[in-house]
Amino acid sequence: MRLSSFGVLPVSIRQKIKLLAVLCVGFVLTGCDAFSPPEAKFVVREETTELTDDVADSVEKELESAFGTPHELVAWLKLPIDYGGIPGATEESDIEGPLNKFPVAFDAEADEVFQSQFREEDGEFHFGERGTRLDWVTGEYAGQTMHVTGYDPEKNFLTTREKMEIAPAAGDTFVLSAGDKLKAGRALYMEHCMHCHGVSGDGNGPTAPYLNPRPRDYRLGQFKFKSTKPAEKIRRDDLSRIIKYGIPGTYMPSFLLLEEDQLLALVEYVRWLSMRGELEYRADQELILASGLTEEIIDERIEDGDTPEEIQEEVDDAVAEMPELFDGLAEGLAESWAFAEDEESLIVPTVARVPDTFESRARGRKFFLEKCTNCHGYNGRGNGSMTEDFQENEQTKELYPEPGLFDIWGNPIKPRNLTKGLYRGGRRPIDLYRRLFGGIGPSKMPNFATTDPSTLWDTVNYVMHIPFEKPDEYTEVDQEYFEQKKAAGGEEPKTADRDADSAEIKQTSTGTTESSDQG
Amino acid sequence: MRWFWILFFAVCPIAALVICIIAPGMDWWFPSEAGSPLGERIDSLFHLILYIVTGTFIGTQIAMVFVLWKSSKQDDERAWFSHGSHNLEVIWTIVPAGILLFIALYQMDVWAEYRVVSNFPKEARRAPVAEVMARQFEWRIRYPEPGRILQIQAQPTDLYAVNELIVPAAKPVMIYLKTQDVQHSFFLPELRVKQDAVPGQIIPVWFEATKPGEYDLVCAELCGWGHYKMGARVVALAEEEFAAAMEQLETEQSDDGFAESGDDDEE
Ligand SMILES: [Cu+2]
Repeated sequence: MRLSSFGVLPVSIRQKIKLLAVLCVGFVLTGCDAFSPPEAKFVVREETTELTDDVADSVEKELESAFGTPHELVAWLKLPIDYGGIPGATEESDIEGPLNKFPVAFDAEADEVFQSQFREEDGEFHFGERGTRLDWVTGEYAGQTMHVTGYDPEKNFLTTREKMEIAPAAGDTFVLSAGDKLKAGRALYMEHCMHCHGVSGDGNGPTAPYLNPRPRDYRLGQFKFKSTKPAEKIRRDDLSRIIKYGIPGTYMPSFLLLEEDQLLALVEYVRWLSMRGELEYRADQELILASGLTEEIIDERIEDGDTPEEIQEEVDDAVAEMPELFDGLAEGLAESWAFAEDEESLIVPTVARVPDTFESRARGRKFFLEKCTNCHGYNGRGNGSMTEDFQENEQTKELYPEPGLFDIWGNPIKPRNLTKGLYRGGRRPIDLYRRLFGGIGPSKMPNFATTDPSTLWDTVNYVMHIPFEKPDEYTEVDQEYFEQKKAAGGEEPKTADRDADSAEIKQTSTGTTESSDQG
Repeated sequence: MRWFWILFFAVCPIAALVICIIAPGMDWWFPSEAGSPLGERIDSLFHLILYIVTGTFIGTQIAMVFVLWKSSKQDDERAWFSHGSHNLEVIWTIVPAGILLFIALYQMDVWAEYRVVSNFPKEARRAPVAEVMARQFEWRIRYPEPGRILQIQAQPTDLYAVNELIVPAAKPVMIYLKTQDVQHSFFLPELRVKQDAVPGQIIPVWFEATKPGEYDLVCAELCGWGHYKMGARVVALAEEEFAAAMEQLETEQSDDGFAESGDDDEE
């Protein structure tokens, strides 16, 4: 069903006044264009443009029919998105057509359904000139959009602006105000998020080039700070938290002042953008890796002696099968996004936090020495040896030209400096536990899902205490660890490195959150 | 035509007078009534200045209309050119200087109480409620654990929040204002507090919300492209509610996600 466009205007009166003021100035300065976003269309992925023209067009067409454009959103019911709207059904009646009045029933309480249309002053429902949108889902009028202009609460009768030749059958279903939530999300997204995250959620809005770290590109369907198990998607709750509290150490600010329903609408829009992007990405992967339908590969094949007719046939087949390909991919996608909301996906510790004692931290320190120092460094300053090695690009299988670590978006990243006391994914013990248990897939921090939960808690205790560590607090623990290692035949890390790092840390003050942590 | 100008210049001061008289009552100058005792005194200073300026404005306008009216009657007399009057100039220098000096001295009490740390209310100075760290583009807040004193250095027991500063109502409170990057300005319009946050400095700011409620906290220093995003709120709570809110914050922050039921992620 198509959700026709509404302006991206926010709702509160205060903002309206503010906008009105801006509008006056805006017209004078730049004309009417001041309001449309600079690129009010979805960006096409680079991989899509590499496909041969017919296939690329077909991918774009398929995407548009499933998602629409930023101005005209489409509610594709295959996806686990709450587009907003209130479902209802018609009831038995003996009125015969032509008519524009019919009895209905809602799952929700009727006074809730028409809450926003009800006026206390006169005790009547006001639907305005346009009326409230009604989309038929099943029955004679399936797929049609009508407009409700009246409601009789006693008989549960709806009046529509449109006249119907024959009465809708009892049990025909419809949705009122379909897509309201997604549209509200879009308005908020355009106001608060678009300038960094881009219209398409590609993390490449107008202000993005000035930011380090770069804003998230949602289009891989991957997020760093989530509460779900390693392979699972992000939950609505996680996105809510990020929007509400921001991400310290990055440019993602807190939007705490958003109302709860605004927050939920925004979360839904971000999920929708993310699913749209991921679908395009997966379709491209399928068409490139499995079918080999890029311009480049086709050229090579023609050079190798394949006839253009042969190839055209393959292209035609791919285009003809595009709807099935999208349906299939969407099904998988829908399943994984829906499963993230399931209790089973959530990381819940099986034991309570181990009391935060020196002994616990010392055990955590040993685990840290075992698993974490390669990236986070001997003292947790984020300067482990991996940050100086050349890493391999997983897609091209080539070494990156610069040393250091890269995330799946190809941006250089630094392991967190744990002495700063800045925790991007939240500073509650459970946040750190989930970071360890689930890892941070997109930035290649490994997960420790199979590690004993008490050991994880020890490590959480240790990590949370790093900013407050005294210079020689763990010297004995370290010695003991290295002796054990030696006894077991393991190799001791070069002491020179350790000493250099330790000397450096003695000169800097620990236990402060004053300095920023960029990177 | 000449009568039009005479009338025009006569109507101006009259309109100005009317506006000045009704403005304070209509809340045109300030965002709502001052929500703090010091804010009320700041308002009354503004009003005093408003009255002085209004009087001066009306006086000069009357003089001008008088000159216009008088010379409009002298059709054939030529205007004469003057090199000024020494006496007049001395008068109109000394009188405004005196007024300015009066304002400068008269406001000193309020200024001192507002800005000079040793004049801050003792109970506010003794126990700062929080450190407010401005950064592009939000307000990060650090509270001491209930029962402890806020330290300049972060403590393991500190509590953290963002864009919402909770303070007890009806009592003076002090915060430490800092910035992580550029200059920002801590602005509580309803409480009449505005203080720049300057890189490298820890600036004590005190205020008192007379009534419990929510107050706007905004940034009043153009600090970058996202300056407009720095909207936050100060929530003033009655004493017991404040204690409860702090306790809740503490509980939330020490959440280890372990619950018998297995469902924990509600806030
Ligand atoms: Cu600012």
